[in-house]
Amino acid sequence: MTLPGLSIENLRKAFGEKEVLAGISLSVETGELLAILGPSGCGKSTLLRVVAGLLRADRGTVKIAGRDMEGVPPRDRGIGFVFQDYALLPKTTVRDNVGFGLRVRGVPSVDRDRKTSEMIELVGLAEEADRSVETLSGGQRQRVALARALAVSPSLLLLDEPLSALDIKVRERLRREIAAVQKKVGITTLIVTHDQEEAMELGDRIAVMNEGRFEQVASPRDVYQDPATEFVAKFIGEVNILPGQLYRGSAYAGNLAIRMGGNGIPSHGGTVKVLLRPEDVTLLPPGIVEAGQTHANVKSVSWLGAYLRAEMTTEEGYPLTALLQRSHPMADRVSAGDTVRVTALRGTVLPDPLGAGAPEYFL
Amino acid sequence: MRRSPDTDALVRGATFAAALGLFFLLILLPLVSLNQYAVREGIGVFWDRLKNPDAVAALRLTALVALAATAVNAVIGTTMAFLLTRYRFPGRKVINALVDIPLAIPTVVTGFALLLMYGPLGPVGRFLGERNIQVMFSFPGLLLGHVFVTFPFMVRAVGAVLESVPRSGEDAARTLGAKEWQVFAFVTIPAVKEGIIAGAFLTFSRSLGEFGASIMVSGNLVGRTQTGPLYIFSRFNTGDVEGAAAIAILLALASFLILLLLQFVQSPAGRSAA
Repeated sequence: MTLPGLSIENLRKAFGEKEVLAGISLSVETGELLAILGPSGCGKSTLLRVVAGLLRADRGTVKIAGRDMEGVPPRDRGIGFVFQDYALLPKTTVRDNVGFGLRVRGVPSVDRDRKTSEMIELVGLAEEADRSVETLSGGQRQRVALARALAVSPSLLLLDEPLSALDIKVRERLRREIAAVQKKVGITTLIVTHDQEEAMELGDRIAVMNEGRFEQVASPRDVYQDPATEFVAKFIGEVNILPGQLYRGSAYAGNLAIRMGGNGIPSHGGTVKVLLRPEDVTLLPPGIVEAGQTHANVKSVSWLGAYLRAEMTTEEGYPLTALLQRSHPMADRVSAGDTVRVTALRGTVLPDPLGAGAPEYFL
Repeated sequence: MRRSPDTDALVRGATFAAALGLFFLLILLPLVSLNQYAVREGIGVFWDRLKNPDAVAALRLTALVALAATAVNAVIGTTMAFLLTRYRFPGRKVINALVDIPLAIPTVVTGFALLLMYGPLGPVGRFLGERNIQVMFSFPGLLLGHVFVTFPFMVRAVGAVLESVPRSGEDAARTLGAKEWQVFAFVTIPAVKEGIIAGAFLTFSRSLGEFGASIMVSGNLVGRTQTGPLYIFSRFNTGDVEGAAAIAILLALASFLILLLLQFVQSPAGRSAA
């Protein structure tokens, strides 16, 4: 078995009274790209800085490619770090910046020039190699920063909100370029972001962080479809959360039901929270409700381009949001004030021992 | 009630006139009268007064001390600014407040204190004197006084720039393999270059006019430890008003040119951050 590219164990860091990292552990495989996603102040940037050695943890270990980093300064950790504000050397050329790491390490100029050109090529800036970084756009500057970080052949790449300072079009393009470069180089990578879309698109896995802890570490698909906590469900995408009850392999929120998968929660008895993504809620014309369906009153309808968004209240009184594709048969027919039938295509539950559950009359 | 445009214009005009009037009365006119004294016996005589060997020696010493004080403070002032803005350590606030002390206490007091410490009667002075090193009434003492008095200028000029420079540049260099001295030399210094230049101009210009500390520590030895301002004072006291005025106008002009130059160095075009 190969060693993980990065492993952290029981990492703790406090600033004064405030605990920013609450004794967390994580293992990242060699070559894997892990996205650390969380709201600002959740500790994700602190984690990155501790891994880089720019901050000292109060407790816990960091191992990069199997090597314990205790007492190792940032320059000897074999890392590349990309900052949100690019952090380029002012009034210097692209080449000067990319070659900086090799220069301070005393790499002979022949090797340095070759490697520098190679990296500039890699990020597609060959034309701009001798231009001053001040004349470059934000996206180009961040590509310089990426090339500079990779030029010293690190074994771990750390990206701290690398795209946050860019406008949306540039951000989306550069996101794909970063993914392509990362796969090509095959480097173990941690990217810190507060942008769920970025995390979903880039991450082989996503670590969702909140108040110094990991809420869930899983593939983008699992994080979205089977969120481990209410926080994860709410932070990534939109979600309906309804009080529910388990009954014979299904979870009921009022009359609305979903089949239970095997996610470890006993499928009968007990109160739960039923989590439904708006796109998993679908509408049917009014009529006789079948098992698992319920009636709902449409409060408002709005067009979001590719989707129609319907805000409703179920007959049990729960607010419910649905997203219908434009091609959905009901999309052109539904309007505020209508009564419709709703059904849930899929969903997931979280244990909620003290929850309100389903109304008594239903069971 | 609305004020008429006429009233507004009047108020603005009056304010402008008052500011300009005070500027003339308090700053420009004294300089003009200085100029008149300096040249009232003709430009040739003015020139002769400048060429007086004692005057030349005093001006040379003034320039030399100012240059040396600027160089010393460029090093220790920049380092101090770096420590105060980039590190958190116990006593930082106290040291930060102490940096401005030279601005607050009279320069004569500064000179007096240095004299008591490093003079023939002071503990350090006696120790050095026994080893034949004389600090007071010589160039080193003068330099010490000027470094002390001008110390805050460099620290504050560099500190202000450093506050606005994000630490990520320095951190990036660390992750790329730079040792701490390389971070300082290749990232910090280039980033605060403008602050150092501005601080150097202020230090130099302040040093040119330094009087209080100089008169205490120099001994005012003509041709040896007498700086420009001390020369002016001595000449005036002995009744040579024209001789004093000639040097005075030269020093005033030099200070003005330095500060004018500073205006151009600090132009917004030269301040764009990367």
